[in-house]
Amino acid sequence: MSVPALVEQLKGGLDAPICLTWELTYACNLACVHCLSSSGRRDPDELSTEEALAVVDQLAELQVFYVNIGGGEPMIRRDFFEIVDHCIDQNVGVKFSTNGAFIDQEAAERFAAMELLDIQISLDGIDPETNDAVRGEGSWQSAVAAMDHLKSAGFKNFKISIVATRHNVDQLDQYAELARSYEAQLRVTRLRPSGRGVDSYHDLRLSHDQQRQIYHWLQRNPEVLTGDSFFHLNALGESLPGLNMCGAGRIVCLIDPIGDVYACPFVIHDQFNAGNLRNEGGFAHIWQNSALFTELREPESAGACGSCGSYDACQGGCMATKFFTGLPLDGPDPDCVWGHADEALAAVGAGQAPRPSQDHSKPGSQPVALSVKPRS
Amino acid sequence: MVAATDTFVAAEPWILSTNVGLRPEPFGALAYHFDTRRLVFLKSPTLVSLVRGLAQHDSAAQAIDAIVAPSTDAAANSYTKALASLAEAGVIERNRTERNRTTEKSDP
Repeated sequence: MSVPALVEQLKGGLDAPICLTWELTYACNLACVHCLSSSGRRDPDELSTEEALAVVDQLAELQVFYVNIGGGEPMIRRDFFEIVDHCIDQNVGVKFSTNGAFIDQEAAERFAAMELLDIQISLDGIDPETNDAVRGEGSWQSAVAAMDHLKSAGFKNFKISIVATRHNVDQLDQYAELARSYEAQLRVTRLRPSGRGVDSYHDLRLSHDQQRQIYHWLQRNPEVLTGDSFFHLNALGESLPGLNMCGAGRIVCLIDPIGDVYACPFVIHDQFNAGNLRNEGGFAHIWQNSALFTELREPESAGACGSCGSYDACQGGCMATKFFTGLPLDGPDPDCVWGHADEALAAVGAGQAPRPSQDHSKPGSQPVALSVKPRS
Repeated sequence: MVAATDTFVAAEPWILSTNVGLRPEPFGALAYHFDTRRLVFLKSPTLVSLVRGLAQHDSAAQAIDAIVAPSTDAAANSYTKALASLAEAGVIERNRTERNRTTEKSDP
C-alpha cells in the first residue's frame, strides 16, 4: 500500500476543513493596532441568528471538528451563547478568542460547565504598558480580570494568546510563569500585516535576531501552542512541532461576519474571497468547488525560492504576509530568516502594497500609539 | 492537558474513544481528539473499518481476524502495530463496558 506523505495529501485539500475561523461580528470594544479584520463597527449585513445557526448545521454535517470563533469581539453578539451552545450540541468543538472584557464571574462559570469549549484570552504584553500600547488603554486590566474569573470558576487550561511582537518577545518566560499561575496554556502566534496590521506590521515585527530568539524559545518550550504559524522559521534547522505548511483553503479557511468565505483569517481581501455562503450550495459548495480553493490546492511553485536549500523546510513562508507586504506569492516571506526578501521589501514603494478590501474601524478613532510608554 | 492513554494489548477488548471524532477522507480518515486537540491520520480505509468495528469484538486480535482477514502474519502484525499507535494517541481505548459490548446486527 503506497500512500503519499500526509502533508502532500493535506496540500491537495480535504473533503472538509479540519477547523475554520468564524468571525461572528466586526463589532469590537477595542481597536487593536494589528487587528487582522480591521474590526470596530458591526456590519449591517452580518448573519442573523437564524442564518448563524444554519451555518453550524452545515459545519456539523461536514464533520468540521471545531471552529475558532472570533471577531471583532464575539461576545458582543447577543446570540453568542445561543450560537456556541448550538455548536456544542451538534458536536462541533468551539475555541473562541476574546479580549475578555465581557467575561464576568457569571459568564466564567457558564463556560466552566460547558463541554468541548476552549477560550483564548488575548494579551499582547505581560504588563499594561506593553499590552495597552497595542490593544488600547485598560485592555490589560480587563483581560487579567477575565483570567481571574475563569480561574475562580475552575476553568482549567484556557489559553493565554499572544501575538509575538518586538516589544513582547523578551517577555515569553514571564508569560510561561503567568500561564502556570492560572493553570492555563500559552499560545504564541505570528504577527501578520493583515487588517490594521498593514499599518503596524513594520513597527511591530520581529527583527531577524528576535526571530532566532523565538525559534529557540519555541524549541525549548514544545508545549506552547503556535497555531503552526511559525513554520517559516523551520529554515533555521530542526522543524518546530506542528504542520509545516500553509493550510489556507486546504485544511482551514475563514467565514467572515457577513458570510464571505476567505482562504484564511489573514487574507480578508477580494482576491482571496471564495464566495458567500448565503448563495446556493452554502459553505460546502464553496469549500469543494470554488475556483480559488481549487487553485490553492494545486502544487505551488517555489518561484524565486527554488534555488534556496531551505525551501523544503520553510515552504516559502506565509501567503498572507507576502501579499499584504506587496511581495510576490512565489518568493520569499518578508521574514525570511536568511534575509532573502529584504531587498524586495525595501523596493516596495509607499502605497504599492495591497490594502484590505474593507475597513470596519470606528470613525475618528485614534490609532493607539505604538511606542511603549515608560513606566511612570 | 495530556490525558492518560491505555497501553495496547491485542487480547483485550478495544473501542473508539469517547471524545474522538472520526471523519472519512479519501486516504482513510481523520481522527480528532477533543480533549487533547490531537489530530491523527488513519491511513487506510481498512484501518478505518477495523477501528469502527472494534466494539463488536471481544478482543482487538479477533477484530483484526474478522475485519481485516489478513493472509499473512506480517499483515496481521502491521494492523496490530497500527492499533497500538492509535491507542498511544488516545484514539482508541480499552473497552471497559464489557456487558454493553454488542454483537450489533443490521436489521434485516
